[in-house]
Amino acid sequence: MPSRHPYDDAPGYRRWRSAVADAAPAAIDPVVAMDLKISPEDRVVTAGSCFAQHIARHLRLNGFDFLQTETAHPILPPAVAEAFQYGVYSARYGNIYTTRQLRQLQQRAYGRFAPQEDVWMHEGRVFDPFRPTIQPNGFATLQEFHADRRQHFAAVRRALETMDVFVFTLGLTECWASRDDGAVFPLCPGVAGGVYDEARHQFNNLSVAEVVADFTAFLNDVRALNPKVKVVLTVSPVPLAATGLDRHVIVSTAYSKAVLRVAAETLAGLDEVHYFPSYEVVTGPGAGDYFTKDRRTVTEAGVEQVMRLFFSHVAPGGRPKPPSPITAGSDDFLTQSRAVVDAICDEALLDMD
Amino acid sequence: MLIDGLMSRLKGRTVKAAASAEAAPIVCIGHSHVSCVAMAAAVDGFDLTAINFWLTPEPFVEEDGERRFSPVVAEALHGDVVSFIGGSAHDMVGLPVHPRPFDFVLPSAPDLPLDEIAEIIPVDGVRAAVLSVAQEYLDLIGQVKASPAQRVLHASPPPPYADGAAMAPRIPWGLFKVGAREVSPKFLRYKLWRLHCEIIEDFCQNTGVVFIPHPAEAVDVHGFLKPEFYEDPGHANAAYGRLVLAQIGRRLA
Repeated sequence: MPSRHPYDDAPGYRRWRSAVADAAPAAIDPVVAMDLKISPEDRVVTAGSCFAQHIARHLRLNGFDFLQTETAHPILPPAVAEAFQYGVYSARYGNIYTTRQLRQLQQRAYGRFAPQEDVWMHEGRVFDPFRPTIQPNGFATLQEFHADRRQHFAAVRRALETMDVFVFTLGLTECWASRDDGAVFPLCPGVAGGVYDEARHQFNNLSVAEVVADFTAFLNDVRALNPKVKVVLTVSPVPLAATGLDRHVIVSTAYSKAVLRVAAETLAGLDEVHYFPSYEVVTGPGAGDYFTKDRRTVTEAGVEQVMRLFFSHVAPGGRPKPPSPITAGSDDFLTQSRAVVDAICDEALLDMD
Repeated sequence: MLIDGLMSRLKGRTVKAAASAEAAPIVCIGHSHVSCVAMAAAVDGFDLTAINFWLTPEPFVEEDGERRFSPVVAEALHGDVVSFIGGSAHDMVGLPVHPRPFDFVLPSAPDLPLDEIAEIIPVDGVRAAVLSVAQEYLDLIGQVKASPAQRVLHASPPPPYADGAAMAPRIPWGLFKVGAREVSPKFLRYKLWRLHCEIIEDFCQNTGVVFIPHPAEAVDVHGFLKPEFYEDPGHANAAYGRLVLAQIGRRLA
């Protein structure tokens, strides 16, 4: 005769049969509950690996105050603004795959770190080693590159200092760094700019302790200026595109995701740091096939399931206001300026009489 | 001598009617910038075949969603044609100060002053903005090139005038309700003009149109239009037009 045990009164979500095996895919809810609530007035900053782009997009589509501190200038045609990655994230920092990269961006934005390998040149164009794909074909001149970077760093500082909620998606542990000063690159030099040099570049695979230390240092510095900021951590369900180690990419993916998941769990012990299980929603057994044929890209259905759960738990009020515009194109300046110039042209006719 | 030869050709219909098969008529065609050569011709007392779209009733027709020259304009496109089409896209993007003041680095002159308090936009984005305004005019230049015209030239828009304070009173600010109603800093206007000229010149090179740059003697050491060639905030005057006619003469000689 079995005695009573801790599982007797466990709720359904703790039991596989009721929570997964007998549940419809769309009804599987690994989130269960979150202490964090986001209101329409909260300014939300997003960053992270490519999956974070989906989070940013859905925040905007659902009318949340997706804080953007580096927006496209209204004279830019919308397609150009999009190609230049305005509005993808809160500032134009591109994908931030690792916590080391996040910490480094913060240090650079506040002038505490200046990497030695600071610029890449290719066929007369200038590329930013720390956001090499931020705009098509890089920057036209060094002057423009430096001016844009000063502006970008100011936008990063504004985002960090004024945000209420920071949503960060942990993406990778593998990264490439400079042997000179440890500066990490989002992409291996040579992939989207720069030249790979074994004497100058080295492979890193961050440990749990390193991920935790990087993010803790980042958060401590943020809270020194913005003490009330709340954090949502997620782990990207997107597998590695390639591994720098001589082993199967699936093995490296499993290791990376395990490290990031453990690090997130550890960090969630900090005050006002919350874990949101995007990774589990997409990759969990029974959740449905949320990958496309390449078995790497998350389907829109998968993204929508993640975001449906996100909003139902952290913003149960639903759509608080109409979606905000993504980029440029809503400005009346060009129309009115054209009217002014055309009127000047009209006036020129008077002189011909 | 070149200018004398040109002037005889610019007598246009009269000369053509009088005889010579060797001297085909020259047609100057375009928007308001054509007025500088038309004024020069008027001042100097010769007959210039100038078609100013602002003075031409219905110069365009819509065909399959595309703007094309109307028959009355198309029929004039014979012999050598000098285009003054468009030429104000740089002013449309940056003559008045934008509510979000901006600046950019011009790659062909990267050391020009940069407004440190303005928002810096990548030049590729600014080029796209200017092109988005200029494209309809480039398309028209392309139509001229595709016409029966023999040689097609396109004249650069005149350089900007440096003195914004002198320009401001002649700008119809009543049409502008989105900004501070101030003229943009001179170097921003200069860079936008140069960028616009580069766009036009690239187009001309790709389409076989001869690009005529601004007359070098019309600008000061910084590249701005000299006061003696200033007409209004968007245009150069008849004296400038006379210099352009001389350039045309040299090109067609």
